[in-house]
Amino acid sequence: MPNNSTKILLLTTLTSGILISISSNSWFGAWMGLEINLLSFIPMMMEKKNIYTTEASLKYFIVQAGASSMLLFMVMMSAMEESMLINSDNLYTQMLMNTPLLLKGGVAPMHWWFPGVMEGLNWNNCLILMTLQKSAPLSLISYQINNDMFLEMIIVTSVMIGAIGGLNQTSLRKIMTYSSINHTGWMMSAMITGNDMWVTYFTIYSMLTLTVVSIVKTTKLSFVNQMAMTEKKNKLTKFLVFTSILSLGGLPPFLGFMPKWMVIQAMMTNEMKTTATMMVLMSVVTLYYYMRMTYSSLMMLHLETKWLIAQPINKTPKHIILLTSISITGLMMSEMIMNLD
Amino acid sequence: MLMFFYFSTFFLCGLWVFCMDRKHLLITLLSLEFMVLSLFVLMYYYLCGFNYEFYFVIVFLVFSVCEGSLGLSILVSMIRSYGNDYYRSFGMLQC
Repeated sequence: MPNNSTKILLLTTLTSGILISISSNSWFGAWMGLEINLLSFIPMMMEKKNIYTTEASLKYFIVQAGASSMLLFMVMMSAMEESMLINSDNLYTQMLMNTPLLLKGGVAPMHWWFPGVMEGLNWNNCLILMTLQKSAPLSLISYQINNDMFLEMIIVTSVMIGAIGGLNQTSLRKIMTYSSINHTGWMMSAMITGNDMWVTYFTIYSMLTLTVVSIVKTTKLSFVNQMAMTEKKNKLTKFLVFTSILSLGGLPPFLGFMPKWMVIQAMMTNEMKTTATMMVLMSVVTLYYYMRMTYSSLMMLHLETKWLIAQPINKTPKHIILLTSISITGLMMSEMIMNLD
Repeated sequence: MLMFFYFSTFFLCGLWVFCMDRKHLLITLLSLEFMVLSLFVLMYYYLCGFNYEFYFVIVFLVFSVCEGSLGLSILVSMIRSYGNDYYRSFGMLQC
């Protein structure tokens, strides 16, 4: 159970691990950064000492330690191969080096640890796991990416699994996990097409996730039926949840549509029409389960239980309102600024 | 070329045990250490080609020892909350 100063220390080393790994010259430095990141995130997961956090940290540790040692093995083997053999096949080298990084980032065919780990954490650590922990592996992938069949397969599977896996879930953490997997597929395609477009996508995705997580954290929701049972008079919370989730799903008037728009545009110019169609269709499926999360709470005659503890309406924290208003008006604002000149 | 096969076999044996879902968690941690050992030998061999610049081996050993001790501490907390370290008892967060 870390106290505040421990938390500050661990958060600093976590961030510095990410910075070391994304700004290092060699693969050894990148490996060191990933290792520092792992070593400082595991104690942060143990915020409450119970059976869930223990198992989640165990799963996370096993997966990440295995992936980092595999990464180091692949790096050294490929370096020795390039120095020894003259015409070494580059395609397989890139594939082999990307696979442990994809495992670390929780991208689709290697995603099986991700929902289980998320289920055992509290919302703060879920937020870190969905946003900060993805940034180092994804940027390491983006340094060595090129457009080939392997990555296209990764994109399609991660988009599909992120859409279909979330359909039958009742836990909000798992729904957020599968939406994160889906968005990671979009980020990979942004990496293929544009130079730094995936950074934009990642930033906007992180902000929208921060919005949803902070709302859900203050109202203490963790399952879908609890969302439907929120108080009838508390229209503000319902509105905030609904708009920010639609924005995360990428519906046009909201901010979440903007990175998807950019990615679709870039894929159209790069002649990747089949993959783009697949991604758009699957994002409709994700929108379906986002809608199902919130839709029943907006009904006029929905269930309201007697044992509901009423939350005071004027207690909605200010930062949630700020974040939600950014996610509602962000696209319109940025369009206005761009068309101003 | 022979060294390639040697290192690959060495590492993949460790990876096989690591992935094989044995009865105890301790076996997995031991196989992780085995993988680290194979990486150490590989790194020694690799750095011989770089003018014998072995300083990175120290860094590697420090990090892998930290990782191993973190794994052991997770094992301890596992035992304190479950009472055993069997893989079969980890079904709490199945999806």
